[in-house]
Amino acid sequence: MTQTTDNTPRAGRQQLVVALHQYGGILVSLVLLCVIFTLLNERFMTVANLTNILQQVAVVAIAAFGMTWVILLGEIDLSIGSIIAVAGMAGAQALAFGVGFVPALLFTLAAGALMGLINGVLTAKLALPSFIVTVATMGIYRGFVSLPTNGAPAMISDASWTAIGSDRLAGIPIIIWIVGVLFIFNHVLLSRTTFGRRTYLTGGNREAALYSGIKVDRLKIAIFTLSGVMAAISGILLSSRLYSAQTNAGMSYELDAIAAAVLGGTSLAGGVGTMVGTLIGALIIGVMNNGMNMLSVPYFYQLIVKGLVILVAVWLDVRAKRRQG
Amino acid sequence: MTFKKALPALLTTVALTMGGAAFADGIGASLLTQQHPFYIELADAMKAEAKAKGVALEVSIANQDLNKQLADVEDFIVKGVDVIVISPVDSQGVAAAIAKADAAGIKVVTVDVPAAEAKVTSHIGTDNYTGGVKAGELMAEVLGGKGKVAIIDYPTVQSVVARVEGFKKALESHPEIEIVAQQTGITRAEALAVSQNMLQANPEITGIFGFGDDAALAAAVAVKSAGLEDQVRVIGFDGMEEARNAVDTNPVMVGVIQQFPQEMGKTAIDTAVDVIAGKEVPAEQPIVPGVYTRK
Repeated sequence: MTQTTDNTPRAGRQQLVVALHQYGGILVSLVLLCVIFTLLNERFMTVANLTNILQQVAVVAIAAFGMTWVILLGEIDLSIGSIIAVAGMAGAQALAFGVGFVPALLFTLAAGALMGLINGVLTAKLALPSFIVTVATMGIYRGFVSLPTNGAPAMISDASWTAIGSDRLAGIPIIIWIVGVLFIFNHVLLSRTTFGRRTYLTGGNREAALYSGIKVDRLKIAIFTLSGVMAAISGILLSSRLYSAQTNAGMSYELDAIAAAVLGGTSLAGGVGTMVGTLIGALIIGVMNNGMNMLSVPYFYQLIVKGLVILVAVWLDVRAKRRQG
Repeated sequence: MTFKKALPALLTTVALTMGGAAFADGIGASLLTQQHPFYIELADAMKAEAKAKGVALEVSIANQDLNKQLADVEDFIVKGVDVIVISPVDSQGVAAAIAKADAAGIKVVTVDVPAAEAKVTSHIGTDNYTGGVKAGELMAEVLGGKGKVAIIDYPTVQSVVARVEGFKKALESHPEIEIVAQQTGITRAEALAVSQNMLQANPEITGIFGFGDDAALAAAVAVKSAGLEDQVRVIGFDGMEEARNAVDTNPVMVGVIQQFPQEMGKTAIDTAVDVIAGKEVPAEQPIVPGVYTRK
């Protein structure tokens, strides 16, 4: 993979216009939600609560970064909720086995990479639709989670592991640092490297990508593996926040990750989308969950409102883009 | 309140330094689910008692997701409630939520499911072990002291484990009763499949104990479809309306151990109110379940 940089000289103002053009619709939704919640509850716009939201959104946001890559290719990964659970359990088992913090971490990431690799190979080499492949592996991985403990949750008492989810570094929760670093990593990889450009090209037009010499199969496998690793990191954060690996962890989080990516302007047809958009999309979901909790909206109404807000936000975004054309 | 709107920066600083000062007084309750009659009755009883005592109560539903429960508790902490009532999604994993409340100086009361690894101010729950013993005694009585028994369990939930332990303990004094199968069936659909499999594998089964109403009702259906109504007797645990009706009308369902969610919810709120008032509360408040048989 060659590292290239975008050297086009751009005025800061021009960049701002481009950013507004791209994210205007979705940013309006996020700001609107924040304003509404701030007006309705005095505790919403506090540092303590904003920190809360970022921590709560971390697991879905990181999984959504991986999902964005997959969707950019025009594929889908429905197994990430299960990978999140397997990762937590893999970490818990490695720690219980006494391998120590760092090896357990590496083992967990490797497990995530392997599960993603399997998705990628099945999709690329057997030419199966990724929807079907990952529906199948979603079940398979979910089954594996329960094997070590027969369905029971596994406690995690390793201090370093639980520190990831609860400690602070320079006054900011470690979990937020991790989201930040992974956001920058994925953003740069997508927008500043050939790997990223190939992904856009392949997702936009598979035939053209093949003719221009892109090894589409290899790219697909790499991206599913990346998605698996991202989900594994989500699983590590989740298990460290919960002091335990739950066998039902991450259930249906793949849908939240898809919603975050699509809210952020990623096209399910492939070829269109950014990490910035996905981050904003994840924040919208997090702000909604937290804001409605702060307002004590009954749970079933929360589900209804969440669905409606996703519809309206995507509609606003699509409309804004159509106008600016 | 006006000065806060004028000085949002000050507000932020205040919030930062105080970490979770009390703006919203009252009780925050994080309940496991709202899709089970037991929890609906529990929540209704809590709301009624809170109203009677004139204390503010907010209820969040974790929907069986521990991560959502943690987020709900975090949001209660930011809101600054006085006491948090939790019915844990998982008795061990709830430690994270309790630790956060502890760090913020907010006392926690658990209801129904106890916390395994963390200390709470008080726990109000069914005495599941005693309930299990009562189920076992009823089973022995119904079977006339001999027979082959199957159990539908849910091994990840501590309260269910205690029920099954109690059930087995009671049967120990009846050496002619043999436990021939023990399988997991969490939902009604799973319990139905599991019951059918157990009856298939052990056609000589004469009694089935379901860890909950759903499991027992499913077992009764399996018994009927296997045409074993004259041979097999089923006992459940929870005692919601549907199961009580079944006990009244279906000869296969001979009894159900009845929990008292109303009493539990009322006691939880009374305990929380006492905690707010600074009174001492007992660490354990077991609610002994009853036995419901045909009238």
